[in-house]
Amino acid sequence: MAKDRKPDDARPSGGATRSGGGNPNRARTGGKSGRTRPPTQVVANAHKRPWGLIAGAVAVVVFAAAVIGYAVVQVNEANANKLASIEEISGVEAADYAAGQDHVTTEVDYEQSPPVGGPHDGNWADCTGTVYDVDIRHENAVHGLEHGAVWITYNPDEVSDADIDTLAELVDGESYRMMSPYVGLDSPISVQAWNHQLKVDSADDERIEQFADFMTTNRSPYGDDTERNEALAYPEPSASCENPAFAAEPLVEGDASTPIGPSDMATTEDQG
Amino acid sequence: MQTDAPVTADGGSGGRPLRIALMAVIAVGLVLLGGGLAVALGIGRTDTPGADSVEAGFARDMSRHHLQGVEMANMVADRSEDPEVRQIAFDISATQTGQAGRMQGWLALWGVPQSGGDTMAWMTEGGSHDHGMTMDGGLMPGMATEDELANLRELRGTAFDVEFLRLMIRHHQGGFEMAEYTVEHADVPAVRDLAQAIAKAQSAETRTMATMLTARGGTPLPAP
Repeated sequence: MAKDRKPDDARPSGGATRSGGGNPNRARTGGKSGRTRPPTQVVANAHKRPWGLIAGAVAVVVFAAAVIGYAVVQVNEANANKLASIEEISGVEAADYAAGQDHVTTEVDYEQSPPVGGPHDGNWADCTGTVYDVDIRHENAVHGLEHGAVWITYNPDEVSDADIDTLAELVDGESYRMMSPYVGLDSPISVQAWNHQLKVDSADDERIEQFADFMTTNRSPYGDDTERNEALAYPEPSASCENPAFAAEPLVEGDASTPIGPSDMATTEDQG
Repeated sequence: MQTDAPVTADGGSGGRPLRIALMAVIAVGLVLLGGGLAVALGIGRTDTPGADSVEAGFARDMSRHHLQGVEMANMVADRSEDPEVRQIAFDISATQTGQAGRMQGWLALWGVPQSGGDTMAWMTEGGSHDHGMTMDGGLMPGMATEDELANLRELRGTAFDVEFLRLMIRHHQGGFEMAEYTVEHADVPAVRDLAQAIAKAQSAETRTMATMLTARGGTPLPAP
């Protein structure tokens, strides 16, 4: 290579090639470039062209592209099926109830239906993977949401027994989940976590499971967005979902508030 | 530009920019290649367990398994007068609550869901029971059914003590296989360590409870 580059190489060796002693390939390739130049120039250029470097560059570029492509595919695969934020599930509605909602024994007129936050009863509904067959008292259910539970509700007039079984499989034996019929629900199925709600038409909608898996006791529903996590995630990490007395004899919507099982202090803070 | 080549005295002037460009391409290419290799091989990645890993699966399923143990143990205070039963129930409740919290903390740090996934699906190697495990409404081995829990809530006194011990022995036995599998297959030391501790403590507690059950005239449930 180095020899090729010697300045005095250019013209004389060009002549030599021309006279038949050189590499015919080079000469031909040079000619193929189609440039309209005097013959000597074509030959001279052919000799100066650093084929080794060109081959090396092409090889490096191709190899680098292949490796990077492989790396990208691998990283994408690792991140596949991994939700980073609740916003990646379409159709989820968010509310913004702050932590520290009052404990009340009165009936609450909730803005959302089913409710996703707000004042609630001091006793939480048992949410230890509990499948209720009655429309449990909403004020108690909201307290379960505050403890990190996901609550699946369905309109008993609009879903089949098979649908109920399908939904129950997502709940039965799963800590921090509960499920109940909800009379007058405006869609066949609605899934709630604190401040978040997803309404769907079919028990087979894969978003139900995505929502339930992602939101159950998830304090980071917005991934790295700590500001929104703090504002919107359920307020009481590691609070219990156990209320065996409620599980045994649940209060039903319309019942008056009744002390039943454990309760906790309202999380009202002295923030003026 | 190259039309100058024949005219110039040194014929190399036409090739030099090309060579420099090629060297630059090679240099940049090698840098990219290095970077790509580093990513592809995971060099320097702080590799936290993924959602399907043994570590995450164990943390998810064992914490859920534990929480039902806690639920049963917490029934004891209102239903049993037996100091020995009350003591072991308090121990189980406090220990398993703490361990469940520890495992949930790992899941949060690893950024994987706290729940979901098929139960025991992470126990992929050599398990003879794998296929039976995810049945029965997703209940893991040893876990009590809703009916059994409902029945337990209604009992009081010695009848409660006996049924509690029967269910809790089976519950401990059910968690044992998960713990053992994790001791063998987990890569993260803290996870292996907790699994080991659970396996040991629960075998000891199971023996204690079996003795207590016999002393109260009960017979054990079939092992899961």
